[in-house]
Amino acid sequence: MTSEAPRTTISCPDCGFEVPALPYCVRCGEWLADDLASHPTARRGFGAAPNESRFAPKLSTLFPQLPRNEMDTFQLALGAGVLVLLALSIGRLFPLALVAAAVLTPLLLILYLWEVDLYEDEPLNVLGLTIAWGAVAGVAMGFLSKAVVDVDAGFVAERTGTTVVLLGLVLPLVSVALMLAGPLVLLPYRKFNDVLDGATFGAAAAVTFVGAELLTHASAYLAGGLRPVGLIVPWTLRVVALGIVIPVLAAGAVGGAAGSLWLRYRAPARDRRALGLLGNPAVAVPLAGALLVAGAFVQLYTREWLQLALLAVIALAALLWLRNVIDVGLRQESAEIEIGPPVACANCGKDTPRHTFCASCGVSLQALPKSTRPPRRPGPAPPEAA
Amino acid sequence: MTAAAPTAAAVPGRRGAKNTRRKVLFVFGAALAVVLGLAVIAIALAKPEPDEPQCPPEDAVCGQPPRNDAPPLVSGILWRSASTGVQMEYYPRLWKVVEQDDTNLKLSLSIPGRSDIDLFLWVRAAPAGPKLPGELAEQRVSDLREDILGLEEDTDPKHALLGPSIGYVDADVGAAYAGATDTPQGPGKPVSVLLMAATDGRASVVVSAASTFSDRHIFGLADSLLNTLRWPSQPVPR
Repeated sequence: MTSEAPRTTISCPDCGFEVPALPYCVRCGEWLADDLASHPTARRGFGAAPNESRFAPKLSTLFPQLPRNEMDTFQLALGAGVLVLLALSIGRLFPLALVAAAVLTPLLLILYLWEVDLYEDEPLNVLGLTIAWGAVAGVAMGFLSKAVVDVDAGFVAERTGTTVVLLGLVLPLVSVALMLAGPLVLLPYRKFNDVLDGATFGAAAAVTFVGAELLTHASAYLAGGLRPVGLIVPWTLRVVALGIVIPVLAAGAVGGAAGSLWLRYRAPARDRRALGLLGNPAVAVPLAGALLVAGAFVQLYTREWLQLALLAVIALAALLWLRNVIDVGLRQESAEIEIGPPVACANCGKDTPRHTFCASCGVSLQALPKSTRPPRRPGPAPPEAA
Repeated sequence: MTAAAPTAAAVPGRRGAKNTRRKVLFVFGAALAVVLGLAVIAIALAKPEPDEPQCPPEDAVCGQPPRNDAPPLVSGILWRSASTGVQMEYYPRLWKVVEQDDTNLKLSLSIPGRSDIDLFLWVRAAPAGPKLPGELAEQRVSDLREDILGLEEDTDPKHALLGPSIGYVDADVGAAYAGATDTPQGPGKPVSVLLMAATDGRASVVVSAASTFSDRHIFGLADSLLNTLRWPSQPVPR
């Protein structure tokens, strides 16, 4: 794009389509200006937040449909939640800190789904098979884990191979299967055919599963009173891991796996290989299991700072995976959609041709309720659910 | 570069950012407060009745010598530390060996049909010279903290370890600790630990007993077992 020769359209160097000559490609979100130095990240940014790199595991990964000005609100809420966790732990109210850790991330995700209003016409199906399913399955898993492995003083004395295999391998793999089971019911529905839908469903089910499992598993400890004896530092680190890091790990892994399933079975054929092996369910689902197993072994064999650091590394890797799944998902539909009449961008407030990305700020317009999105070109579509 | 047509459609479903921020933060804070409030009530209701101390803390005589109402060990299996001369008997029908070597013996209580009762005993013997009982006790607490979340000394007088002794030798260190079991699925049952360390001048011994069983009388079984411990300075019974 050059300033001396004003043009109304330009051929996008990334997707190849002829698009309005505006700062961002409305189809793929590519930065179209010549001077890349003026671009916030000097290369194509994350589809849901073009001012951020695709390789920066930030909060926009978990809340991709939030406009930028509302992201601050959720960052503030998350920060306040973390402060509550720290205050309760430092005040030695460990049982309350555990409860706060279990509900913090699910609560933020429920607020997010409510705020973006994305599934306004199907709230029961979506909430039932993601949030509610995750909660019910998590409670069931909590009881199952207590029944399968009775962790008592014997666990302190002796970690048998069987115990380690059950706690570190079998239970996390069963958990991944359960977290994916609810969202998978939504896979055949045409109205939920975006990769972003799958990733959102998977992440929502995962965080509620983890929270519900934690509450159930810790019920014996919760019944011991408000201020049991305990050291502050180990408890604080553990509560931060349970309340933030592990839910993020689960959301990244299961959201990534669910996104890969959507990419494989709902995306246009040319997009199915966009993520390479990570977009192949045969690789992605086992990878999600491997990430949760790795997290479980870290918790079995390390403590305190080392445990938190290793879990954070795994969680960041999972988040990065989810971020790239979402990025591909946000671009997948662009070829099928006609450029529509102007709308006001929910992120920057400027007018933009209605399509996949805002031409002014580059944010994905997927935050719009589905009923307001431009229609797809007629063509073959995956079979509708019975 | 051209601007899009000025007649932009209103974006359905969006609200003013300020109102949205207030609303989201209010709902988030209110929901978190309600959950924590309900948790306070539930935890307060579920809290067990405070257990009565076996001995009033002000009674110096009670608890010495240690109470022994467990069945005597008649023909136990002998564990002997060759390097220190310490030895102890245990009854294999009650105690399962978890691990043993020349200086360590780890036993787990195993009562048929009572899987709810658990007790883990860990005895370590060392020559008296290099390691003082206090150092052995510190090392044991550090080891246990690898497996018990937030293990800390329990200073509740009701849980005080009165008249600590090992094999009828008064302990230099005796304290109660508490923490919680921890797994990848989350923290579990509260764990109570009693820890003692003593020396007879020729050997030092540190003992810890851990249990998640709610009735602390369970530690009486560990106590009776420790009465069978013989120091190198003591005559060995036939």
